[in-house]
Amino acid sequence: MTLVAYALRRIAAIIVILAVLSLLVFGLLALMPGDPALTLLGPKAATPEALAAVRARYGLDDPFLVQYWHWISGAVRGDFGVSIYSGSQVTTLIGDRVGVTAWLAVYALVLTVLAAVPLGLAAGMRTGRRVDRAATAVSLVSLSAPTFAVGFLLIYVFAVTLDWFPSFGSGDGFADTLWHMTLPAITLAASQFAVLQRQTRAATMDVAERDYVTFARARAIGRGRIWNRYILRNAGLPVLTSAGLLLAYGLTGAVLVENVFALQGLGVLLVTSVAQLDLPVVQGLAMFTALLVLVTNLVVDLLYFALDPRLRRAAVAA
Amino acid sequence: MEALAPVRKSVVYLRKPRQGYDEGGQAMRGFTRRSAIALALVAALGVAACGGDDDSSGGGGGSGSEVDKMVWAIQSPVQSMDPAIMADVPSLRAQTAAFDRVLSIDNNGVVQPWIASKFDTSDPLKMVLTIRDDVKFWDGTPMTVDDVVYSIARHVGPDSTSVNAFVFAAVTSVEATDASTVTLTLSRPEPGLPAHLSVWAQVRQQKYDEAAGEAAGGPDKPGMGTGPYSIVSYSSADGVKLLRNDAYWAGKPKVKELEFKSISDPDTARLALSSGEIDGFFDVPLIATRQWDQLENAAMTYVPGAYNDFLSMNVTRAPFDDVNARIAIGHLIDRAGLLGPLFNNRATVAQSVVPAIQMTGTFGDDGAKNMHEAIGALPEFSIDMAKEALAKSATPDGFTIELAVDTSQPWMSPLAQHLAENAKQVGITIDVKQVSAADWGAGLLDPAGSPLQLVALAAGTPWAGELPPVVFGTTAGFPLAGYGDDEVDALVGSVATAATVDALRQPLQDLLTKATADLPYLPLFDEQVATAISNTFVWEGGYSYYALSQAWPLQLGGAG
Repeated sequence: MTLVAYALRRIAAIIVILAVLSLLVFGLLALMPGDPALTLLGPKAATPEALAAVRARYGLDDPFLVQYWHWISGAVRGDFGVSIYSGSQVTTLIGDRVGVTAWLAVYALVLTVLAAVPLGLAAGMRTGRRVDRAATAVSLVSLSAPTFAVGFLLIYVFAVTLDWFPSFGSGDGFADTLWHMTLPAITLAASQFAVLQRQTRAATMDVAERDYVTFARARAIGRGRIWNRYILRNAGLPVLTSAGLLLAYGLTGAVLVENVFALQGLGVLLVTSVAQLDLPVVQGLAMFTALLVLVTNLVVDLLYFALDPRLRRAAVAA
Repeated sequence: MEALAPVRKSVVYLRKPRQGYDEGGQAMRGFTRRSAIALALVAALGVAACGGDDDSSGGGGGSGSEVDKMVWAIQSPVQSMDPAIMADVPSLRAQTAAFDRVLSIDNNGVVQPWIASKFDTSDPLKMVLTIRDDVKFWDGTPMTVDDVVYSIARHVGPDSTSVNAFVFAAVTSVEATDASTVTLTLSRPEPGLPAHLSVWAQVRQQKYDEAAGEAAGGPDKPGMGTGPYSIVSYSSADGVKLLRNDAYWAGKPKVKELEFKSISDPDTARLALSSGEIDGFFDVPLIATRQWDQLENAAMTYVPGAYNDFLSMNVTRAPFDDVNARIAIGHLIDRAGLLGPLFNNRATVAQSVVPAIQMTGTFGDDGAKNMHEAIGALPEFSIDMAKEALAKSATPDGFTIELAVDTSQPWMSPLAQHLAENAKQVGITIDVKQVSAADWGAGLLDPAGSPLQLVALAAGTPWAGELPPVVFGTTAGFPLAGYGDDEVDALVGSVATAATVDALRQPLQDLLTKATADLPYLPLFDEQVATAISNTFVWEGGYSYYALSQAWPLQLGGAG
């Protein structure tokens, strides 16, 4: 099977998953207690006229599957309806916030990779030595420190005391956004660091002890080549998987970080809309974040497929 | 109406400080709709009966110096620039900075003319507004009486989709009687109408809204107004940027640019104020004011608010169908002792369900004092007295009951723990349950919910007769305690229809006296409202609970 065929198969699977998920997400409305028209009316006056208008607009008197068909037809075109509370298009609300979340997730992942991979490699190659113990200690702190506490500490030191970075907000333009996002990204990266560092360490230890590495050393192959051809490439695969999961996590909204730094991202939007029972927004966000996670996983798998010739050969043989 | 924490909406608000009142969802909507019933009973503002007249130009521009920019932080994003779509307090902050209202309320709680230079309510079933002829929209076109009619009528009638339609339920028609007069016809007396017009009747250009269609109030078409600031940009994610209206009819504001940014975490806001990234923050949590007081570059303002916190005991359900059980609970809370720990002493012990600011606003200082003396004392804190009361009840050995606390309201959980600890000593087990604001709101009127509830309401007008009809009587909007019989209903009716201070005094006193004895509600605290503002700015006349009923940015200026 070629890479293209593999990708097509995965995309088909994603479509099926999204279809099933959409049914569940739409079913939320039917599962809500009380009259769905009241739910969709939100804070507006529940006059008979207003209720009738909502029923007509959402086709609430139609059978469930007919309603679902109307909704999914709109959703496929990017129309998830309007927020019950603000009256804004759900896609507009998500579009306004996805940039902030994407910035945060990608920036944090870059910082995480830059810090965790080298340290994980070093620790994995020097197990039990000082660098390994130091890396373990840093990971422990990273895992233990509450995200909000790290955020406030960074704000206090770098925004209030030193005045190097802003304490909140996402900024305008690339440079300003980079400046604004640095502290939030460090905060998110701090919570992710341990996962990637420990994964890299474990993968490196595993690969470094393999026979083919020992054999390569016995053949007096240069250290650089051993690292590039034998260790990094093999150890990189599980690390890539972890990085993909971290990216998916960040893209679905690191709500604590967003809250501490007053970033209007997807996480805060999701929490707010769930609390308000703003169903169209919840439905739109659920589908959008599911799509983000599935696409991220697809990209990671494709990279995996591209990087590992064994997988390609196995696919071709199959 | 002002300090209504970000979640409250309109005249009587269920207070939930962090998110929107709307987060209560289904049950909360029930609340607001029920409140419409109660609002129909809301008594008149004294001033409403005689109307008002203003020949001044409005007096814009505070005493401060000119300033280029001021950044305010608000606790949640502005959800719409149209009060017909969203009217939570953070949205109202931005809306009222940009859009004029038909009337206003001054710092003393008295309704004053604004876009309407005169208002006459001498006929209880009619209100006549005389509209200024020198007002222009931001685009330079003159504001017409038809725009004013449109701005009010969009909240009126069964076809209205406005979230504030229930506030104007008594209004049957809004008509332009001539080129400068608007007449509102009422189906019944609605003394609170002038106060409602000072918040919800935001003047918007009809032509603009009609062209915008469903986009009106949103980021692309936020609206065209006449207020002190025009809208430069608005997005729920990035906030609102406003630019001074140099041709404002009431005088040019001192601050050129005004910006609203959302910071939901008060600690982040405090640090942002400390670093100079924001210049002001509304609704500082009282439990955290000690840290805010220590800010070197900002000043705190504390003003009385029409907030009322109380404990509700449903008299129709066991064990609170026995007055002695209610009295026992009343003896178990050290209300005075909790003022420090819960509010940094920025609150007072409530004497009744009527906030102190409404009592003094309606009856004056002496009148309020007399009223409080007349209605009697609430149970004092005493474990022994609680034991005695419980011994006389139908449950002398105690009982077990659940008490839900909204985790977004910092005072609720420690108060509930305090009550539970004390209750344990008399044999009562109170199971404190931490819930979200939405679940707390949903549980308040749940027939299967606990008969013991902690409640926080905020009043919207200065009138002392506003809240009693909302919580007392069989027609109450929020019948939390189920407290109503013929006698109570008669008193509630008198309170609700009282159009003057003299007409209100006796029935209110009788009702509160009876309620103090029967104790369906244990009044707890009257909270203050805390606002932080950078030392580089001044708020002329001081921040007021009624700021949302005023063109409040006019009072801002530079400190230099």
